[in-house]
Parts: sequence; structure tokens; C-alpha cells
Amino acid sequence: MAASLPVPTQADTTTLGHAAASTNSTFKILYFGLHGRGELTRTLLAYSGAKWEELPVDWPNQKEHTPFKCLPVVYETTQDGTILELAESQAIERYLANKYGLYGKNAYETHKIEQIFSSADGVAQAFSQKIIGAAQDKRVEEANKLYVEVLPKFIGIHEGLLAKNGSSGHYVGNSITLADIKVANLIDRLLFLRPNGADEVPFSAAKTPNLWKVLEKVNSHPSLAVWKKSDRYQELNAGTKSLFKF
Amino acid sequence: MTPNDKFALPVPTQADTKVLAEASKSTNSTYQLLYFPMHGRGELTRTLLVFSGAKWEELPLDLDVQKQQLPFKLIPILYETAPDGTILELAESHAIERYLATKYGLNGTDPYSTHKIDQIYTSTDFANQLFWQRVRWAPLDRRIEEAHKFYDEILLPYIANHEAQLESNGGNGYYFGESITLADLKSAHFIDRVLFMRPKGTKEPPFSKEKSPNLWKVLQRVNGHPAMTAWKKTKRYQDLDAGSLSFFQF
Repeated sequence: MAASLPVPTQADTTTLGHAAASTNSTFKILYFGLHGRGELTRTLLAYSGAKWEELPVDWPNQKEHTPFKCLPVVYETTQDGTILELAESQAIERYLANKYGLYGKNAYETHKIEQIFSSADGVAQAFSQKIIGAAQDKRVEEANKLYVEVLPKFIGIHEGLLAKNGSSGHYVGNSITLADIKVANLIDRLLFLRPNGADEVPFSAAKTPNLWKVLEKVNSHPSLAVWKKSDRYQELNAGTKSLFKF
Repeated sequence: MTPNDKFALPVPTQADTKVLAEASKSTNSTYQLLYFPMHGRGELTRTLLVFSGAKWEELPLDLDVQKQQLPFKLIPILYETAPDGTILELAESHAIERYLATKYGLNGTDPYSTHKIDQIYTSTDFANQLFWQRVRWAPLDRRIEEAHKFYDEILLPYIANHEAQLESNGGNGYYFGESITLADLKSAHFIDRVLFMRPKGTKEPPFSKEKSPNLWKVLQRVNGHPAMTAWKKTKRYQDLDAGSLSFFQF
């Protein structure tokens, strides 16, 4: 039997908008067995404390039922039983961050968080294209290039921004936001997906003290610490390395 | 820099976050944009400023000198001056765009409607980024080939998905409800750019009234808005067109 998907509730904008205010939702995520574009969504779900599960993937049969013919897609069941369809990884991430208090207390804080997210995403994309996307025999060379051409500039700017916020391990205010989670995720990925034989990735407690604090604060958050120790997380690690041939 | 230096930048107000947040609520701000004299990554910001009706101007650019003062050493940067004189520094094109869209009521009325707009924005942005990488940045001798591949492999599925999305709103030329949102502006911007930045010798991109009727309606709605019509007739807009073609060697 083909793995069937939840059916999003058909209703007008106002009804769906009201349902989305739910703080007691449960979630189902449809994404492949690697971190990839699903990672930040899974992290946010883990962080939220909400009940969530993964749907079995049967992509050839499910593709036609997704709004943009790509994954991840998340189905939110709100406390009144409405099913909302969330799609496009970054749109999902912003939605969840907003729902769970990670998106700033006002429009200006939200903008500051988005600046950081966008800046980090630029590096994530460069990494994805130039290293994950590289032919395997060019990978070490491309990684080493990224480490000396792209990362030092990023590190310089971000160490400075974090110092301006008191070197507290947070980008905005005094608590974890989407900015911290995004950057921690970037550092994690760069460290984890270091090609065999490449130079050391230039993130460390000694070299990048403020960024390292961000990473530690995020990774030591209780629900994220539990998530990262889980079997599923280890499977996703293995799936990531395997799919990208690292 | 000397006091009358024409490349001097506004100085963002140093103040408590609460003060800055309060200032950012203003819908009566004036703006100053720092970006290259081309459309590029500044275009949607300019469009949003035009739609907002706010008073705005462009700052003279000397990136080598000004770079050091910019938070990410990149442009666009937008300086917002609130009525009480507070100056806010906005950075990173996508972040600026969402900030302006939210401020001027173009970004949804509740978190789910905002999310739906964001889906369109993100989906379009993905296709637009591929357009930049594969066509704008293509070596000149590969450009026609890359453009054709892009039209077939990226645009046709994009059009199929977005025609369906627009159909589910009744095919009225808006992604949501009956008025322009950031989704419409983002999509129209993308279509505009693909049509405008068309390498000589390529076949027609598959955006047209016949091939993508709903998207075509979005494009007409956006371009037909009085603010947009006026903006596109300005000398500045023509200069930006020329700047874009020249920079990317089209």
C-alpha cells in the first residue's frame, strides 16, 4: 500500500489562520533519511517539545501530492483538529521559529535574526554547491579553498556581531533564537562533512570563541541534547554521509 | 572621511533594543538605499520602497571605502530614519524585503497566511538563484545552452507548480486574496528578470499569456500598479536596466 499522506484541511484563510495559533499542535514530517534540507526543521520540532513523528517516504507515489513537488513537507494538526500543510524548508523553519518563540519579540529583532540567518545561509549554500556538489576527486581541494576563502570572513564578521551582544553565546537578546540554531547547524555540518584528507575546519573554542559558545548553548539545550543522542539522529548522520558519499 | 564627503554613510543609532524596536514600528519612515547601479539583489527592495509610498533615495556608492562600515561587508544596505530621528540599519536583501513587506502590510495577516506567502517566495527564490548561477554567471560561450536547459529543466516545473497555486486562488492574478502581497511581487520580479535578461539567440522563455496564463496575470497586476508603472518610466529605472545588462554582459 502506498504510503498515504495527511489531507490538509480545506477552509478559508481566516479559519486556517485561527487554527495556526494553536500551541498544542502535533506534527508529521515527510523528508528523506538524511539531514539535508530537513535538518533545521527536525531541530526546531525537537526544540519545541511538541509531539512529532516522521512519515514513511514513498517518493514516486507521494510527489504529486506535495505543493511544489519537493521535500520537506510538514503536516501540522492543530488543537482543534485542523490539518495545515507547511512546505519549503526555510518557510517551514520561519513558521516554526515564530510559533515557538525563536523569532524575536518585535519586527526589529526578527530582522536582526533574519540578517544572521541569511548570512549563514550564504555559507551553507556555498558549502553545498562547492563541496557536496564537487566531484569526489576535487572535494578536498574545494573544501580547503572554502576554509581559507569563505570561512575567515564569515568568522570575523560573526565573532564581532556576537561580541556586540556581550559575547553571551546569543546573537539577539539573552536567549536562543533561530539565528543561534541556524549558525550552530552550519558549524555542525561543516565539522561533520569534512572530506577525508582536508585541512581542519577553522571553528574551535580557541579560534572562534563566540561562535563556539553559540554552538555549545544550542547543543546543550536539553531537548536538543536528547535529540542528538537518539537512534534516529545517528541514522540521519549515517544517511547523510552515505548519500553524499563522504 | 571629511565632513562633506559625499560617500559618508548614515550612522545607525546606538540605543537599547527597546528604543530601536519602538522606532521600527513607524510607517512614516524615510529610507536611504546603498546598492550598485543595477537591479541585481537590490531590485525587490526598491520595488517594495516604491510600493510603500515612503520617501526614499539612493546613496552614492564607493564600496571599497564604505565596506568597512557595513555589518556583513555586503550590499544592499538600507537605512531607515524614523520620525523621531532614530536611524536603523537593515541588511541582507531577503531580510530587508521581509521587513519592508511586513511593515507595509504585504506579508500576510496571520502566521499561516505569512507562511503561504513565504512558500511562494522561497520556491521562486530557489528558481531565481539557479537563474543567477546557471545563466547570469554562465561563461559567454555556454550561455545559450545553459539558458535553454534552465527554461526546460527549471522553468517548466516552476510554471506547472505556480499555475496550480494561482488556480487554487481562483486564477485572479493574485496568489492570495484579492490584493498584491510579497508573493506576487517576488514572482513578478522573477518573470521580469528572466524575460529581460535573455541571452541573444535563445528561444523564448516559456513565460507568456498562452503558456503561463495565471503567472502572466500576476505580472500584469504588479506592472499595472500605478506605483510600479511610474517607477518603471523613471530615468533611474532605465539606468538600472542598462546597468544590469552591462554588468552581466548581456
